[in-house]
Amino acid sequence: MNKTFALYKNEMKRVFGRPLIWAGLALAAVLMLTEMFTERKNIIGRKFAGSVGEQYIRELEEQKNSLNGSNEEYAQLLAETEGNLDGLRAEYESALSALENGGEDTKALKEAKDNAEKAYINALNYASNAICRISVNKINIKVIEILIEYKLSRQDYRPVPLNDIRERFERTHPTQLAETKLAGALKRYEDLKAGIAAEEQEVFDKIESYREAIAKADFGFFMNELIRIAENEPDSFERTAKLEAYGYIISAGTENVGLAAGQEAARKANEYVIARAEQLDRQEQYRGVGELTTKKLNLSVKLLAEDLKNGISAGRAERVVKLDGRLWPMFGGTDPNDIINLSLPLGLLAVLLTVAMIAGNAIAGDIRSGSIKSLIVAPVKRGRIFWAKVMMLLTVTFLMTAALTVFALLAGSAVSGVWDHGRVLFNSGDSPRILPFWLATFFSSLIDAAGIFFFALLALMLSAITRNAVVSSIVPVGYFVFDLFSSALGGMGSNRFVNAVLPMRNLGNLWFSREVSTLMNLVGLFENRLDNYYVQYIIHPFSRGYSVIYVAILAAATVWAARDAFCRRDIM
Amino acid sequence: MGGAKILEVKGLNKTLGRRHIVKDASFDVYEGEIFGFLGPNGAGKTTTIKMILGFLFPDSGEIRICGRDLRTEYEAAMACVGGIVENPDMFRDFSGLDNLKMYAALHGGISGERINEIVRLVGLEKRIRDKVRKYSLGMKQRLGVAQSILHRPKLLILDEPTNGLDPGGIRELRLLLRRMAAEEGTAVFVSSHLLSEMEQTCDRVCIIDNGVIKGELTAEELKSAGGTAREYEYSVTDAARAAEILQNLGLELVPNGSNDGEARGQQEDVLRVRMDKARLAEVNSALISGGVNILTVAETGHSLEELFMALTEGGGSIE
Repeated sequence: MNKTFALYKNEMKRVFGRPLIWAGLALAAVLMLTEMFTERKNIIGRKFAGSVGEQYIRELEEQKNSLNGSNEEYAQLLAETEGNLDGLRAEYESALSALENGGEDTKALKEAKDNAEKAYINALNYASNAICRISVNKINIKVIEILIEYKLSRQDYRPVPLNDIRERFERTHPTQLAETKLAGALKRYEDLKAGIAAEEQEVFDKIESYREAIAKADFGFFMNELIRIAENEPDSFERTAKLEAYGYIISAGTENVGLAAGQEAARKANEYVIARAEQLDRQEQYRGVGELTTKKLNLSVKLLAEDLKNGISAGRAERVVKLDGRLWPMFGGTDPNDIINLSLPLGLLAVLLTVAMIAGNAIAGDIRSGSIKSLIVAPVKRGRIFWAKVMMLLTVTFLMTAALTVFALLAGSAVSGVWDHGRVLFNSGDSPRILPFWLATFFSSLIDAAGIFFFALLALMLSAITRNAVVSSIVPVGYFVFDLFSSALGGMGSNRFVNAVLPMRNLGNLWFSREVSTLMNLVGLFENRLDNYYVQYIIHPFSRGYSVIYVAILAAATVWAARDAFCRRDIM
Repeated sequence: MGGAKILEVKGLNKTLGRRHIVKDASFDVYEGEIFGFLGPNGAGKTTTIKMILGFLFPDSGEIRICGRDLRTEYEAAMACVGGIVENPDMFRDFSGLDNLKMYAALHGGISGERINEIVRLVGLEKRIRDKVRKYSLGMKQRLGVAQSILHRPKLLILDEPTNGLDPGGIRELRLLLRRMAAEEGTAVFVSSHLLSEMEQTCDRVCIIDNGVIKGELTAEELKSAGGTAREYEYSVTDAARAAEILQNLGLELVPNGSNDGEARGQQEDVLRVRMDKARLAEVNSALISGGVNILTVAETGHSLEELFMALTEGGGSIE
């Protein structure tokens, strides 16, 4: 062991005595700083928007608190809505009873029962999903309050129980949960029922029409409303609320139900927005404009940009930017944490390049230069020499990764001016946890370093087999370059870029994409871009043991082949 | 040999590509002797040395160093060995001193004083802290020698050790090797093309050609290999008169610079004659008496070279 350690110290001294590793770190720092300063302007915008957004929320609270009085029409409205769903349920129960008691046309009865059940369940589904998506936006608090009351009164509703809403808030917006105060919202609803000012009647009339459309799963209605509001209504928080609500409902319907109507509606919306986006001339300030998916509709932002052309104040615009933040593509970089999240993969790419070159040269370079002779004539088995090189690569990989992670956190905080990064969702297994951002970043870097080390082993194996340092370095790096280009050509989003850079993420996606996407769909996370990002950012090695076994087998085979090529073949 | 066997090579074979480089090579090296390994280019010398030092794996055969089988007791066997193969290549980014320290750490039990002693011995005190990439070939050679003797090996293997050394350095190395063999009992295995140097340095010489060991000779056997006759070159004032006198004495003139038997005639003022050393005084006297002024007389023609050429070109062997 002493000899192996002596060899390891020798390898470490050699690698840190060469300019390559320092050049790699310098390259990483340059790449990261370049990305940080590129994102900085969006961070500044977001900070401003954030402070304005807070003021906006206060304004909403004041508006809500000013509501008082009673509104008999509202109560009637609620009763009528409940009556609609009661009617559906009555149809279902009637058909069920007739079926159970026997009837002349069993088949017809069964069909009626099935149809009624589907309609009822679908109505509940749509209502529940709409709640889940609408409710996260505080300016729709009135909507959620109404719908929560509905759910409370229907204890037998399916499929999303009230607990799921609470869990969703706890998981996705832990701080907002405290602020939202679900119980408080329920109480406020009671207050609302007790009395609502006459001037708010129009708003509740509109809400009533939403619920009818939800119950009917009428996506066409939502689409038409979306376009009408966008084109005709003046800017207001109601307008924004409705736009977001419709957007969510359509995408919810598309993703979770997959109805043809929903998909068609989404397609039409996409075409409409693309056409509108092409007219905008503020793409530089609002990155992501024009980048669309059929899943997310940045309608409010694009319309906002159009509003800006018509003279709406920048302050109002930035409020909506913040409120629309969840629809923003990740390259929009509105989150200060993005300065770190987007720059760190670039730094790790430089680590990968550096470590691949060190590994490719580790055996081939020593043989080519002849310096291996010094070690061969020493009383050390070749196996010790090999393991010393493996230990060196392991140390270098993790040291460089740790150094760049620290650099990313410090430099990113300094560049953005934001030192409190808060907590982030960390999905480990089936129990999502909230961790401090810096800890989650280190943990994800640890996973990334493991991936980089895996490819360093590949380069080492090629170095031992081919005895050619250039080939040994290029092949592992070439994989990433190829994947990076294919990802860049095919799509967008930082998670795809990151997946191209780091093998563990690719591996995770390969193995877990179905499980993860299914899981995320079930709990609604799929629609939450933030959660999706972190779930993909951190592979689930602890919850999916077979992935670890798979990678371990690959790594062991690589090491075995490398050791065999070095220890059992003639050296020179 | 009186000493213990330090190196035993039995039935060594090695094929590289399609060429059978070393064919059933067997020899031993004893404690305290300087063993020369001679052969023309491509004979298999370096390949044999590389197998002994662990660079190459023999196809068959056995190598034992200090009684340890190289295949099964590698570290124990190599602990006895110091060596240089071809050009000594150290870690270029390290200083000479760092290279020696690293090597010392791998052997264990080598003090700083020993390192300093060896550095002084090879004459690198002033440059030992410089990076190896700045060394000349001769300096690298000295450093290689230093590294190979640092741990007082029982077996020292040197492949072309005089490469890059000036005549002074060659002499120093020769004296060093002799001292190590005599005082420390080190078995020295040296491969070289410098036949004169080998003749002066080695106690025994083994000749290899086309991968086959042609034979081994001791120093005494070397001296007697060509009999008592020696070849002498005379530089005289009257070559024709000198040739007549020598022929009258029954001596055979040697054609200048050629062994092919073809008479090329004498070079002006220079004659070569083969005769016993005991007749040197008689011949000198006869030439002077005959009116020939002797300008210089020198002994030429290496018996080892002749034997070497005969063995490697003629396909002969030593019985």
